[in-house]
Amino acid sequence: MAPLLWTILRRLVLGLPTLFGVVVVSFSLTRLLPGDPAVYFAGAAPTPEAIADLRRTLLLDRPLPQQFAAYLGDLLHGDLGRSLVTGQPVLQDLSTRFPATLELTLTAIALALLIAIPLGVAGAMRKRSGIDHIARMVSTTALSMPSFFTGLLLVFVFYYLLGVAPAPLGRLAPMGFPPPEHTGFMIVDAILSRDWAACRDAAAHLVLPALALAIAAVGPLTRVTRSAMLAVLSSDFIRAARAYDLPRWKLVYAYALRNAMLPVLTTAGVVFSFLISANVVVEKVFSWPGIGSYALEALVASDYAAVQGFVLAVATLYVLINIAIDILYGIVDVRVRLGG
Amino acid sequence: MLVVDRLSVHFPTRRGIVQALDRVSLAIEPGEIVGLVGESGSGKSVLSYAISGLLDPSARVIGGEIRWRGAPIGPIRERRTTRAAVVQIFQNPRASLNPIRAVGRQVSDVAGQDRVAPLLESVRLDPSKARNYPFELSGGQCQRVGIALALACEPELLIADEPTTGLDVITEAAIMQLIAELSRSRGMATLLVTHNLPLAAAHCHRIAVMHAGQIVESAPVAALTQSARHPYSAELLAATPQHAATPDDLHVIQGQLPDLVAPLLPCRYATRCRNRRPDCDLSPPELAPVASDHLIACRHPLC
Amino acid sequence: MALAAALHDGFRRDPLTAITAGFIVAICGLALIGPWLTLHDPLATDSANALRLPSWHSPCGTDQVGRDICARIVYATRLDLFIATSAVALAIVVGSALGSVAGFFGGWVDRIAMWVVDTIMAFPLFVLAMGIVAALGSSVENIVYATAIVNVPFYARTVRAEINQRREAGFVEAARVSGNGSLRVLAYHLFPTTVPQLAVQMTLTMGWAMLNAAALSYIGLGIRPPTPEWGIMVAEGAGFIITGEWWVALFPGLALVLVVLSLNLLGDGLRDMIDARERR
Repeated sequence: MAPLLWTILRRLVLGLPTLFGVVVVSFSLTRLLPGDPAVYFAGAAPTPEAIADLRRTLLLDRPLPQQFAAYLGDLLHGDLGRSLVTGQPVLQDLSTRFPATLELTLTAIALALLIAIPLGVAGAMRKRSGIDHIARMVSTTALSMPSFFTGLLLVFVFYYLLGVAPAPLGRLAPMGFPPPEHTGFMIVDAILSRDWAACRDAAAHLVLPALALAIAAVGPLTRVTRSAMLAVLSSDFIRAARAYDLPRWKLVYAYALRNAMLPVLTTAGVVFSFLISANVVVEKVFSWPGIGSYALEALVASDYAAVQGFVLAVATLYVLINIAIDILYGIVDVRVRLGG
Repeated sequence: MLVVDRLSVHFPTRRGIVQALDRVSLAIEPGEIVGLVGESGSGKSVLSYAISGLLDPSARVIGGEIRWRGAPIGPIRERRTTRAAVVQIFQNPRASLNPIRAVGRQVSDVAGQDRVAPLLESVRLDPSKARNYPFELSGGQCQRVGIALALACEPELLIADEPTTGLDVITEAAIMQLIAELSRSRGMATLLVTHNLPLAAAHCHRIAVMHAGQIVESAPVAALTQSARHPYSAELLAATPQHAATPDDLHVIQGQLPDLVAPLLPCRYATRCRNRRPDCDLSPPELAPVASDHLIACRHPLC
Repeated sequence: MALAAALHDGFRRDPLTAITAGFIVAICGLALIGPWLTLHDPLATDSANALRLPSWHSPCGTDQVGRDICARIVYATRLDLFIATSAVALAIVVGSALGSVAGFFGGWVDRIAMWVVDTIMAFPLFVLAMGIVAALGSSVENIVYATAIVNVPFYARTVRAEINQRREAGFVEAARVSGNGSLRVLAYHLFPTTVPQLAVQMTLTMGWAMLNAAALSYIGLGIRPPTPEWGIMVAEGAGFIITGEWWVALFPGLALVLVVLSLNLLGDGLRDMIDARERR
């Protein structure tokens, strides 16, 4: 077990310079505002006293290093500033809205994997065949579609034309009552309180936005699955396994696919980046009350503290996810785990 | 038991068509140990893959066939209508094993859980190694696992493609001894594919010499080592380093393997041959017996 | 010329890439001369004719204030291509410079350069672009800068890898020995070898840069109405999807998808071509 702990620790420490860079960039962004930042953070129609007050709070009259130290101190206390729109601390706003985003993103990932992996595997197994061309066209087209357009198309087809999906107005029907909150995942909460009507409603509202997000991820996932499978299928040990007459399903799944999943896992980080970015837009299309739409509302309202807080929080999350993926890879790939 | 009858194989590639095998003929009887010897790039591996059915799907058989107990079999295993009890072990033992699966599990995948321990014992591997992964084992141990996997298929013909290249001399001797013993005890025929002529001479009953996709000579070991008739075989024998010799005494075979994509002469050794005569370029030499069980493909063999 | 011959050979083997290349050229042509060809003024409003279905008169229909969507799409081609091209050009210049010195000099220079690149890549790139535009202010210029910044890492890494690979090569030694200073060797001898991979990377990220810019406009940054731009046109048409006036958002969106798809296909084709040549 010791080598694993070392790996985790070492990876966390290696991630520190990057995390530091992220904080520096976030800090610079707040100070890059054209004109007087205090005016921006004070909101609409500020009084001169409010501006002066804010300038003192933000330490704008002090030298930059001191400002940075103060900023760092605030961050370590979990203080991301205060939102103008809601009046709450930004961190609190983000944590309240985060479960909605998480439910959406996790569902999207599951959907994307369900589509991408079979497609990628089928394409690799029958290279240059009909299914391979379909797989490649699907992945390239999915890569070329902006998420906002995908979302709108889905709404048009399934809500307007076919009438099978509910209106894109959030997680539940406007008149619906949300189930008591335990996890923040509406579907899970509905199941926990046996509110089947709410569960169905929440699921119905979840499908289209999750699909729109999933399509964003299908592009890179299909491609990497296909290329990883192709590489593995032409490797020596697969040829050897054929010589021993292994049953075909075992060869494909237990031998080839498992080895191919390793490169797919390393791509997972990039896919997450796509998804987090796509989240912002998809949440707007479907009025999904997550952190993405929070950031957009803040942008529109020139609520700079909220926007910058969002950027920093999301970047930190992304860095942590990448670290987690690296560690997971180290566990799954036996050679790394056992120190080969 | 196994007959390769004038097999010719081409590979289409970007550079052109690689004429990998040209009218190759070979026969293996039950229990025989046959050596297939030639330089790197002579087509030995292509022939071995064709027999064990692991050839690349882009390969085209343009002439001849392979027969297993009289029934024709194709170069791609999964498409064969007759199942041939042929199995292969490979040049890079560690790369031929699934890197993220314990070796014991790999053996049980082929043979079933019950036979794992006996199989590992039969290749002189401690059954406790079943829990290990390939990267934790030495090259020799990985090759033993490979042999165990091969034996699990109860083969009648084992193709050993450069099984000891890359292993140290002591391990090489141990592995070769293991193969020879298993061959004897199970009545299993073996095709030993190697560039190492002395190794083949030490362990085989018969040796077939291959050059640029053509079989040039096939003879019992004694006949070949003492009275090789094909100029190339003689050169190969002469090139073997001797114990008492110095580096200056090393014999070098002149010329290089011809490019298999370019147009080729009927006898592909002609450009390197000391015995070349004008009539060598007229038509391809056929494998014909010069003595009982001693075949060569040459119009002007050595005496 | 060797390049023309190589392209011709490549296109002959792969007709799909040739077709998409032709399509891209046509799009560029449309961007340049399209505005002179359109029948309508993209900014001319005509409330009486608002939200008309596609017809002979207006092939893509009209939007909520009666502007001809087709004309707007054509004008938007110019703007979108301009944004994407300038962003990518800027990213190539900065990224190549960064990657070249990092790959060539190594050591501290490399570490600092890669720290910058890694920091950029540590952000979900669209989110970073959002943050930059929010900080710098909402304008076309800033969209270009933001998109350029988030694209720098791809080029920096590609160039760094290529130069690192060839740093010790014979021809570099030869150049140095014949009296060229380090920077000259880097600029004139080493850098040109990275151009093929750079070209591949460019076509692959061009599509992405375009999507990035359109998404920024969609969420309301950068482009101000009534300027026609595909992203903002989709945003304006989004509300009408639910009420059934699908053409307002669909046609600009389709235009965007088609161009990005062609860029991606072209990039794939070019990559296959260049990989094949390098393997030969």
